[in-house]
Amino acid sequence: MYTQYSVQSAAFLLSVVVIAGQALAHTGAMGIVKERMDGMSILGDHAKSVGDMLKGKASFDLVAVEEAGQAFVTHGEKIPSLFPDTEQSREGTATEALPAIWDNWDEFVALAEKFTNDSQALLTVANNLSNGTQSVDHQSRAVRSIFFKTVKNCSACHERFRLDQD
Amino acid sequence: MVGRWAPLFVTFLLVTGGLSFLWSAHTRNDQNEQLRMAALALNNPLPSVDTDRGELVARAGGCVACHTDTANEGRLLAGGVRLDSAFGTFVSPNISSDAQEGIGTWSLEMFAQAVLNGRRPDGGHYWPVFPYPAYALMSGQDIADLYAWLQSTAPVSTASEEHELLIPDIARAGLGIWKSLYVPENYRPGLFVERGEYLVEGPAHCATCHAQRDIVGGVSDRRLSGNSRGPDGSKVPAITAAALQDWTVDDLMFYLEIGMTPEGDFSGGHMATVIEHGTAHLSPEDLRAIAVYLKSPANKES
Ligand code: HEC
Ligand code: HEC
Ligand code: HEC
Repeated sequence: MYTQYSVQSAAFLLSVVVIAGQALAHTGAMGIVKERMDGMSILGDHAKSVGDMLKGKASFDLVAVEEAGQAFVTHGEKIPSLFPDTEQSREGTATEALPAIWDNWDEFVALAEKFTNDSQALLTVANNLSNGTQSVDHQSRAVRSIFFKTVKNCSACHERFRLDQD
Repeated sequence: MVGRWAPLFVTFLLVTGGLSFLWSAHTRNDQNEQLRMAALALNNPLPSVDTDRGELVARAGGCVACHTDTANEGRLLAGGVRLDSAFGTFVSPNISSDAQEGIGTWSLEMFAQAVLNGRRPDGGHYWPVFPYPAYALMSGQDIADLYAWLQSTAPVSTASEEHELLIPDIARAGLGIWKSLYVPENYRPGLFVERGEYLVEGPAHCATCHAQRDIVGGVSDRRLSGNSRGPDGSKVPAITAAALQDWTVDDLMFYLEIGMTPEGDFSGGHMATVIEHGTAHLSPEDLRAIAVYLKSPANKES
């Protein structure tokens, strides 16, 4: 009845009870919620473009890295203003924003700032590389390390302040 | 969801704990434990013990994450992480090298009994909130490296806190039978040919969340075909080769290292924690091994 692979986990059964909700898709979002989702989607597109290069799915292109860095900086600066403490913002259709944002506002703003600063560093690295003469291999390694540092902020903020998708 | 299993699980423990006609299951459990310890002994004396590797195992296995109260700036491995559940609150104990409060005086044998078999030094059972049913598949080398690293960390003299449970401590007695059903039977060197499969099944315990659970909360079918009732009642996606057909090996490596999906999104929640405190610390070779295994025909749906 139980195979040799039968492993349980009450680790899970006994695991942390968190309140979960069913997140809706992006569709149906309006106003400020739609605006910030669109902004986030642009971040996602740029992250994908750099990610594909680092995975070797697309050819290495410093101009695209610079564009990503620039988009991250521009949007990062706007993040706090896209999360006003209003009913629309807190409870608008389709939003995945958690109330923790407004309960821990300083922390949320600090994360946005850290993301912006790291993005600035990504942009600077990309700018310097395009003015230099290093091999593509070297360029790719340099971009990888600063890109990883920058996007850790995406996960860190989502982990704390965005509802689980599934 | 947790709430649905809770009464069943408790009933199971109380009933099995009190009944003796299930003695054969008990015996089987003891035999399994002996087998695992014998397999471990086969690897002894180990060619070499590597504390740096031990730290990687501790991170991949989530030991550091669950035994360090990072949120309250707790010291490394000093415990104190509160795990709320339908049974009350478990508090992870101090497993630093402190002789009094940690495991500083434990032998390798005592340590292996705890991690592989859920056995306490006094012969009793640990609650499976400590995920030993997955660790039961860890190799002797990993256990020895892990032990060496834990013993090399700074001792912290913070006392472990008591759990605050709604069920009587005596229910632990019923865990022997439960373990005979849910702790894998035949650990032996060579069980896993591929390192990727070993990592997925053993230390990284992916099935804990990505496999379906049965009525008393055990995973009796370890295929990674998803779980409609995940840790917080939310869905955990399937990660069989078929489910991951649109992901390349590089996509998976990227995801397990920084959490980025092929679309450029970053997941949060439980998987983000698994990545941040676990897979992000693995070597590129180990990440590749996991990704290759996940994409292989062996990781099948049915
Ligand atoms: C300071 C916090 C923060 C940072 C930093 C951040 N995000 Fe987000 N992100 C959020 C929140 C909150 C939401 C949910 C917004 C909502 O649903 O109202 C979100 C939503 C998203 C979405 C879903 C948008 C949709 O259409 O539903 C994507 C994609 C995304 N983020 C990508 C990124 C990427 C890529 C980065 C980094 C390059 C990033 N985010 C950095 C907080 C952050
Ligand atoms: C999900 C959280 C969690 C994870 C992950 C975890 N533990 Fe634990 N551990 C616990 C809890 C809770 C207990 C107490 C169980 C009990 O009291 O029955 C425990 C008990 C222990 C003990 C017994 C300590 C004592 O004083 O009796 C040891 C040793 C231990 N864990 C080591 C480890 C190692 C090594 C790993 C990684 C391979 C690990 N743990 C992973 C939660 C965890
Ligand atoms: C504590 C529970 C937990 C554990 C342990 C866990 N996962 Fe996950 N995993 C999740 C959840 C929840 C999601 C969904 C995340 C989301 O939608 O953002 C997920 C998503 C994923 C995905 C993305 C799938 C998709 O289609 O989007 C992959 C790949 C994955 N996990 C691999 C693994 C591997 C490999 C392991 C073992 C090393 C593992 N997971 C261990 C909970 C877990």
